[in-house]
Amino acid sequence: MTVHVVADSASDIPPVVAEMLGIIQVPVLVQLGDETFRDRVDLQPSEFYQRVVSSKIAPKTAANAPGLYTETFERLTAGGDAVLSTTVAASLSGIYNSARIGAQEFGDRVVVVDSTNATMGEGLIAIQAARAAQKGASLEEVAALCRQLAPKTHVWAALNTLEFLHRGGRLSATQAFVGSLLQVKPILHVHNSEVAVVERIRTMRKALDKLVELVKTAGPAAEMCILHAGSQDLANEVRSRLSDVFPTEKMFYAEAGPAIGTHAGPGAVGVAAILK
Amino acid sequence: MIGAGTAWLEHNAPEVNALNVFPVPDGDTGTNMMLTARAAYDEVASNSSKSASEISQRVYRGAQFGSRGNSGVILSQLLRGYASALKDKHEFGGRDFANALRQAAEFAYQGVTKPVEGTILTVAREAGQAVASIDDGADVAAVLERGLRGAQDALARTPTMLKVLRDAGVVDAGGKGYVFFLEGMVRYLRGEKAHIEPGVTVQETTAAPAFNLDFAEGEDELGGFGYCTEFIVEGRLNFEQFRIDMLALGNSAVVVGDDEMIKVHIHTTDPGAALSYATQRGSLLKVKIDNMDRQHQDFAARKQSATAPVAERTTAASEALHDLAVVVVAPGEGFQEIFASMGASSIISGGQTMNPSVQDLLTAIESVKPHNVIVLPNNKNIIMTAQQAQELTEKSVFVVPSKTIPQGISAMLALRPDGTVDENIGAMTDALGNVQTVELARAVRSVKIDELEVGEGQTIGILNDEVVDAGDDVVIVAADVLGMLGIEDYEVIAAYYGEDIASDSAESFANALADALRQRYDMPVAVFPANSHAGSTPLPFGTLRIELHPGGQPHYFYILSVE
Repeated sequence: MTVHVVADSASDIPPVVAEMLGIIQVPVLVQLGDETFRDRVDLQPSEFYQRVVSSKIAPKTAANAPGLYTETFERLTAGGDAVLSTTVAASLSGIYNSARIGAQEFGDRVVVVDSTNATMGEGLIAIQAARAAQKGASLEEVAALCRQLAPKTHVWAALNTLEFLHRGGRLSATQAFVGSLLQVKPILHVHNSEVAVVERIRTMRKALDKLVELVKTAGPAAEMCILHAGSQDLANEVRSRLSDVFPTEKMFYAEAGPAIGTHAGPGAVGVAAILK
Repeated sequence: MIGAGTAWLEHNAPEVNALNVFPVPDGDTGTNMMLTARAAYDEVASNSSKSASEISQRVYRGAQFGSRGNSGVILSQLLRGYASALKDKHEFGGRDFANALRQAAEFAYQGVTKPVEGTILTVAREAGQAVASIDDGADVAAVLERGLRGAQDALARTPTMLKVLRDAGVVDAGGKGYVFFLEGMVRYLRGEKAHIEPGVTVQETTAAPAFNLDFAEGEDELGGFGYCTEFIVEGRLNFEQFRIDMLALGNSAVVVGDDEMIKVHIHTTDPGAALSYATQRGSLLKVKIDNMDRQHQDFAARKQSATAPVAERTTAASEALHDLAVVVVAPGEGFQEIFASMGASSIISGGQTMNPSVQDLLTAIESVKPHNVIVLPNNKNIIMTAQQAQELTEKSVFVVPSKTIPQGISAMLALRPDGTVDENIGAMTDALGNVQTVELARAVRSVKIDELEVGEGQTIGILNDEVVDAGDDVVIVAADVLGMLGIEDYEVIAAYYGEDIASDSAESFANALADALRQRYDMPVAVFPANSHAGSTPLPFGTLRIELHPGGQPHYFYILSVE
């Protein structure tokens, strides 16, 4: 019995990687003004960032309908196969709930696991799941692996602006504390279902220093991914600064798509890692 | 019925959106629920089936695939409950619909992983409970009205169940959305607005901004704000007539109930008229009258006090600090606002020439609630004063010796609500070194400092408290001082302009400075005027950013913070 791995588009798994490992990414809904797009289906990252920067429209995201998950699971389980579905942290989005409702009629053939993380934090977990599934692991084994990796998974990110995160309401009131009259480059840490601002920094240079320092002091990583939101040059910089702690040929590189970009804003750079 | 519920929800979606616990004006609960309901309705709008079972299944199917957002998913689960209760029924009566309301709640609870009371779930459950003991012969309209009343009561109590709602002063948005949905169906069965099509804008006078967050600043139709009047009247009433008469007495009227009990919410300049109308027809229960003019004045006064020279500010930012307050000395409204936005609890006007007394500082330290207080003097001449105040109070006071305002701002940025007092003191002290301060002012007399000749009336350039340059042109002096600093290695200049500088001349200064720096150092420079969202457009790495902010300080033309 084959185990298929399903993630949502907020996992930001690069399309090539997803295709290679057979990971299906269910699109999150992204709204720009009056238009609704399916993340990465109707709206690609480059177009999204371009429109957000040029039009000043405040994008929004919405969880998908459970029906979309039902359809996906139906198709994948038709031949008797099983499905492991990871989602962006349930604390941040209703996607987990949609997937869970969508899975209700499939009994134990579909397991939904909350990644407790976002972007390639979820993505790295889904990738490990798909690798295990390719090697013949059972659904129970793949699910157990995901649950075991989740608490070891971290995302750190330096945002160019707090504006998007603030607007998206994913920060607690305490965290909204960050000064709004001056421009700050907040450093975020996503771990165990929580998004926290760990530093507020005024310059991108210092923000990169801090980002790299946080990754290095967190401990040795088993998997690592450099992330960016339409900011390839910053990603290259971070990659070279981390090359002494993690082999660059094993690193993943991912561009945050519209769903994550809605909350991170253009110009963000980050690192996702599963620690050893 | 579903169409009417959808239309009413759609009509009221902006009000539901306004019920956002986050202080941002873009809640989308109403939109998400409305689009979900519309998707449900679209499934049956063009269908000619008369079977309740088939219609309710289709409605659920529409919602199942069309739902969006958390609230939309829960609405789809509510509709799933209707479908489940009406399965195999060609027609349905009051009993069946009571079942539907109850099952809707059950499915909704199952639809979330961790049910939270004080949300749409509570509202749905109490709607179901309200009709649990319905008579066998009751018709659908009676059941629905009773369910609606249960839902409204539950909705009104949501702030008592959830602290976030209480703090934000709103009821639960999703719950309100469900109330509108039920209310739309009630209105349909009562024959009001028999055929409103979803998607068509409905002109109505009963839109109810009862919990509109913007209320204090908007809504001026009465020429004033009048009284927000709420009451319940019981007796042998004529609901329809009552409602029509109430609408004539004021605006924003919400009249709900039946021929036995009616609940009224109305904004009127004459609450007496509304009340005496009601007492002539029944007995009054629960009367509540709020003077909205006064509320508006209070609101305006609170806004005013935010710029008073010494005022304790209970901003969201300062409240985030539980056992720690920061007392700041800052000249100028602009700086005071910036410090408040970053979490300062008390701001004392002063610095530059007008230094606060020990007593001023002491009063500020004593007036803030927390026992632990960090003081940012922001001027080298105030550090000693602050240290004296420190010795005169029982409180635990620590002076972070910021010598300039940019140092103080840098220290403020290092403050973290979740850090301990010691961690914060350490981080804030370390942060003093993160900035270079350049000040530009007019020389009041001629003077010779070391090798530097300064003529009266010239602009002097001060770098980290030392006079290092003088000249006739403020732009050239600024560029010179920045050059001494090695500006090529920096990324941001925040230019705070003084009270005597108009915003457009500040902008010309920033643009001229940018030109000078581009020419001299061949570096990319971008200028962001005050209040522009400087951060939303990412700049190429290595670009120098000049941000303008009104500082409002006396005497100094510009204070530049270089990072």
